[in-house]
Amino acid sequence: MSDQQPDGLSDDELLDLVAAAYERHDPVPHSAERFALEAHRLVSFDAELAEIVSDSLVDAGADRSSATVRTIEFTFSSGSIRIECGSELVGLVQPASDDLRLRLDMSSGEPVEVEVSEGGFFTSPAPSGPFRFVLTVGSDVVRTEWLQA
Amino acid sequence: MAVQEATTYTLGVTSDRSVGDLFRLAVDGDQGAWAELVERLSPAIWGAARTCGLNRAQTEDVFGTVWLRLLDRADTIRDPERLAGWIYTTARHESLALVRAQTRLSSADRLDDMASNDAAPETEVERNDVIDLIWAGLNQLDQRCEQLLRMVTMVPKVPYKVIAEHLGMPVGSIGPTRERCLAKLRATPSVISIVETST
Repeated sequence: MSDQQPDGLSDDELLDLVAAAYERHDPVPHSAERFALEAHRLVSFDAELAEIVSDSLVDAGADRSSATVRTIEFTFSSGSIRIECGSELVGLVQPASDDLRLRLDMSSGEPVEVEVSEGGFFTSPAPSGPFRFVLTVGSDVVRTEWLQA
Repeated sequence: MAVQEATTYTLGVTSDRSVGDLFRLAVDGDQGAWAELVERLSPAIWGAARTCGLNRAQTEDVFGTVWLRLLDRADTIRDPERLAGWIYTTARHESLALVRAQTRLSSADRLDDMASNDAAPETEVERNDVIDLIWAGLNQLDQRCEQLLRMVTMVPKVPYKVIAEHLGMPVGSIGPTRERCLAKLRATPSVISIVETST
């Protein structure tokens, strides 16, 4: 404890109180922590991470406010996937194959299997929060980054 | 990788394991390790975003993004023991990107909102203890001092080099500035009243 300060608090004591004040008055919300905890449940660390080769949101730069549909293209070792994020998700996986399975992971709610047509097209309602796709072809698993529509 | 069926993520369990150890275990599917990692590092993300001027709703967005990014990029973390630094830096970059996007998209009133501390006292005023008075004092400080005091009290500790970069000041100035900011805090009516109420 400092002898000099009129409030009787040393600098270290005052800093401890500062930390306590932030902890009490500006805490991390439980909902945010719960989100982080549950995100781990959906992870697929062993899956290949598809690489973004174009993103209309980034390409639009300052004009992004004029874009209504975000289009993102990914490539991975054996193919590509293109996703249009509007009022619904519309996409195309190439090459299409019979044993291709597509799963939509959402930050809230359970993963959903998405039907893919013979030509590789798929559609899905747009999630309200972050989402990603996990693509399985045979024993290969590919995931996209988490995205926001 | 282990198949995870149960979703028993429990907060409040802490151990003496390092952040790096927790991360390695979490990547192997250990839910308890992940929960402890979230508990330990969440304040760093929150604090980084708040010191960039984001309000609580915006900070919550950044918070989720950073954790998802960590999970996405887990295989690129070369030195898990330095994960706290990665977390902090990523949170700051995401926050600044959000600030830039908001600046482009909207008018100054949104900036006013971001600059204001709308997370201010949510608890009962009757809890008139010292911590509340300190909090009130922090809200009376200029933004730079408030940010600095927040950053120097964050856990895990934020390196001075990072604080210097964040605030745009030489590393050598942080110590003296911290002293000046503490003096300003002591001089706020709220903190002065600690003496008055205790005498």
